[in-house]
Amino acid sequence: MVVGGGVAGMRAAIDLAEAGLRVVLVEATPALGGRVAQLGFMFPTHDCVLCRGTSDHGYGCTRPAISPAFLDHNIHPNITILTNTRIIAAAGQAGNFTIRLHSEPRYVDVERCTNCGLCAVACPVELPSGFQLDLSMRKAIYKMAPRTIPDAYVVDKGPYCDDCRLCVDICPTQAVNLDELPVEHTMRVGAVILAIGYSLTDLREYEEYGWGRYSNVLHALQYERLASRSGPTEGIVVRPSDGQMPKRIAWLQCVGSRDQKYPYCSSICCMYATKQAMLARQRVPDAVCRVFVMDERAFNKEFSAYFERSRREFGVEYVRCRVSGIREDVKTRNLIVRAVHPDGRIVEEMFDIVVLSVGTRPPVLARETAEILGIDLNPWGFCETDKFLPLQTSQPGIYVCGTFQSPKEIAESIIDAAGAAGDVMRLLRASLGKHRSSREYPFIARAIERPERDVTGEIPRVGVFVCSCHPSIDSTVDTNLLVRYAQEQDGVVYATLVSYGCLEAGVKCIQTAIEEHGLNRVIVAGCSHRTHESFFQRVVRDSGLHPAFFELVNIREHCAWVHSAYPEEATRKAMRLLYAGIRRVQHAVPWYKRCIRPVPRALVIGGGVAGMTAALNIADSGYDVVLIERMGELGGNLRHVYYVAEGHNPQRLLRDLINRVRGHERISVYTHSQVIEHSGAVGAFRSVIRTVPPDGETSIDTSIEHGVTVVATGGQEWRGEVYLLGRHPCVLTEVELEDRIAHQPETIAELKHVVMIQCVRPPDGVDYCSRVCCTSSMKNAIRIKLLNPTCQVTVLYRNVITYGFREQFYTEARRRGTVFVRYDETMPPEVEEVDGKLLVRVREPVLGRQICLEPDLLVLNMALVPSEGTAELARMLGVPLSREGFFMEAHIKMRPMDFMTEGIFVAGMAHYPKFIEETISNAQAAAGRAISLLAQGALYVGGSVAEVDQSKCVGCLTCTRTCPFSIPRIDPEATGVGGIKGAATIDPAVCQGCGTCTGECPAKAIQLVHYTDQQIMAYGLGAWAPSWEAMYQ
Amino acid sequence: MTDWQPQIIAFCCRHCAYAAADLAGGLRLTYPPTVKIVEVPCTGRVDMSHILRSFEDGADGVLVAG
Repeated sequence: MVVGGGVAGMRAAIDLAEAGLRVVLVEATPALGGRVAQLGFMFPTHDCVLCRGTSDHGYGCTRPAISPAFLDHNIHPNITILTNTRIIAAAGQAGNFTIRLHSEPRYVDVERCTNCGLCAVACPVELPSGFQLDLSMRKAIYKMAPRTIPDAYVVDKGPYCDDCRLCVDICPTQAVNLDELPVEHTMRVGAVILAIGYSLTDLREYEEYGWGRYSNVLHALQYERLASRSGPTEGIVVRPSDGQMPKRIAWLQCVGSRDQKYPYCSSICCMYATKQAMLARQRVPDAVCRVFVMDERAFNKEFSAYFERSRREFGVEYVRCRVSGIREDVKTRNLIVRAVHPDGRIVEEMFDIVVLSVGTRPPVLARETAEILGIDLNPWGFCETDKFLPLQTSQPGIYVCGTFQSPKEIAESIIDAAGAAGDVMRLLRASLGKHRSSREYPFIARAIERPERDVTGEIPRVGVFVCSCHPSIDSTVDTNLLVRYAQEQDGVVYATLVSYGCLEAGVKCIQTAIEEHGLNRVIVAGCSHRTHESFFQRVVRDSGLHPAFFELVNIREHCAWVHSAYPEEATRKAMRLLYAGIRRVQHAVPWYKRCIRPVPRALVIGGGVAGMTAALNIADSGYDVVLIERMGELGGNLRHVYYVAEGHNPQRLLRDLINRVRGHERISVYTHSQVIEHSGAVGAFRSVIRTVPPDGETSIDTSIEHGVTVVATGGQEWRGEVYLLGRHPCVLTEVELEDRIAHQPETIAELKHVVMIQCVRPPDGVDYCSRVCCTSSMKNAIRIKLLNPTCQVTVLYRNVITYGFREQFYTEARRRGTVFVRYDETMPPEVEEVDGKLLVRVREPVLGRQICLEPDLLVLNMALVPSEGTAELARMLGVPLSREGFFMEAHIKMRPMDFMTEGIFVAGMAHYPKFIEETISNAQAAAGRAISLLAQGALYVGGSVAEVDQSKCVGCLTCTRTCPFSIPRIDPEATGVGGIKGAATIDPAVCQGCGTCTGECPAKAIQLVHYTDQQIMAYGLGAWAPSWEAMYQ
Repeated sequence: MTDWQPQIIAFCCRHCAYAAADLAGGLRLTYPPTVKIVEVPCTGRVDMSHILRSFEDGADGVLVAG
């Protein structure tokens, strides 16, 4: 059972379903999507969330290889969605829970609702829209968002609904039933994943900012709606008070975070404020966008560069100041912000809109859920987890992911979700692959019994079903005329009107007609491909026809709904669209995917905490693992970590991991080894491992076959000749300091003054945040202070990045008297040796003067860089690297542990510097993804992908150059045009099906299956049946 | 000439622009009926010849969106 239908919950549900487990997805609101559905754009890519990650799309990037599993009517057969549902009681233990659920009625039958919207027009009750955060109104019968899962209306039957039953009377499909009663279910489940998200700080607690009193003070999520294309103003940012375009916008950071009341960092606000400011500058180029910020917490991949772009390219201004209050100019409704200028003056400035970067709070249901399930919450009300078991709650068998664990962004929530799913797979390993589904066709299905009818050689016999979808289509388009028109087209043997093609009667009508009229091509003129294509493909497949012989003509979303004012023109357009569909379907050719039975073995590269965790998870789930480590010992960076800020003992974790890996019957460990060859595709990779024993014996090559690969090669502390490192005995790196504190504490206790310099990076390297260093400085500063409270510790920093609950260590370090001095990146500290003593000079920004420090120990916090050999390995695996030099995942937000190449996953610091707990989540996520692939008995690859007709190929290399994924290659053995040796070949297992090569191939030797030139040209594009006009005018 | 409406063929990527057109429908926005949408798996699939063919067939404009 997965509780919470936001992006994390959906992700976990999909992974578990793929692994062959049954999943119940429980959501408290009427629709899936969670917070992410309310966002317009994501940082740092500015992808529109509407198509990438909302309830609309399920999850993930848009490539066909991971077709959106949550599109309505194509929901994974293993997933049962229960909306409006909450847990009311629970009993049992890991592997065997009994959960009682309470579902509030929706009052609308999801199966029958066609989204025509008549009910909402009829409804007399207006209420503020929760989805639009009260910026606009909705009716009592409403749809949460323009597109939701389930794709249907819902009745908010609160006291304001006076039961007038107008909606019941007007509904053309009798979908509304106001007498529906609440339902209670009892479910037996093996494990529970909690993904219940977060809530926002109640800003009325912060009266000084005037939210709720001043109309132009918005919180960040409200601004997000305002700037979203599906928002109340269709993405045009206007002032709520007068509808004017704002010229000056301010963002106030840390409202409800990092203060006395809520002492932790909300982790996401710096980034989203930057995103909002950048987008504001894009839309209103001359607007002044000012962000009042304490620290710029840009601590993930590409984030530092994003801040830089925001400053340089977009002209967003950052002011280092925490604003204490806002006043409103009563006349103009402008807002007066009092702040400190960089030069030290306190000035009052006028803004048109002020956006409060509102802090995150535990989810509304946190306390209730914790009580029912008996799990512990941490002091801040979020879910309590152990540092080394970051996804497990205090109750075995109950897992947590996403923002309920701690405030975090989308990518990390997704990592957590996949990791929690991986943990569940390990727990329920006996049931893996029990409920298998197949992706043999474009839709996901359980086994289809009826054999496919071979229609080769048959003359096309097209059946056209025009859906009236009353009143959505037939109130605008003359559907009877459309049927008459269809009957007269060449190849059409049957055409009829159906009232609702997707309802039972409609499906029956289609299937009967296929039998009775011997149809071998089917067209439905109705709604969108996105919502119903897979539904109808399944209908025709159930009648024995290959889904390629089905064509959906969209006359609802793309015609009737957008041209309701012009019924005549809309009918004409519908005819043309139908004509194109009839032409296209006659060129259809069935296509088949290749079936691969995955080799049940995983290769894990790297024997650090990430590699060992991933290996253990996969092996525990019942698959063989080959774990390779370049060094002589397992452990990686963890070998040099002696204590952590939270107080746990990492050396115990290390010993425990090594013992379990060494003792596991399914794990073979190769130390002193590296991969020297890696080939093949998902399910069937082949690698060669070279082991070079340290004592100079000859190396041994081992060849292995494996279904998946996990890359966990880690990172390392950069070492360079800066700040007298290696030349003066009193200059250490952070790792060396930790070693000394652990092994020679007496030498540390004698120190009088320690200076730490943060962010020491290669002079010519890319600027990025190494994420862990600030917290490790805090833990070391606190240790030094514990050993000797009189020792002065000065930390020279650029931004203190102690995100999430790590803020407590910053507070603790300051409480113990650590001094923090900010330096500007353009004026880094200078270090020199004077008479054998160290002298550190730095410009203090508050005083505006240079200060000199004379430490007896200087500690450098060096940047974390990718491990040696990362670039080489990336080339061998055929995967890209990010600009920082770490491995580049498939999609920075939605697929953070996958590579674009199917079957290869990334975990730990190989992805980006991260903490131990984050590395463990990440490793579990990679393992979970790997297990869900291995647990599928059959992988289907290919389908609608590019195919090369080698007899036409001249070997010009155009395809190899244009492919965005570098997939085509020239096979020297193949015979091309005119018998010349060497022709292009495209592996269907890795082709993403975008068709770029087909468009570019000068010899037209490549075609994209199901989108061949013939099929696209069949649209008869521009003129589209010129003859009909004379006939029907 | 005032009544003249250009015939426009829009090649829309099924993952984004096509979805956006769906959303336009869902929100009941309006645009001229002379705009017709052709679904493609990715705008990368659109070939020069498809664009030229659209003009040959009488289109006045071609929109590639994705």
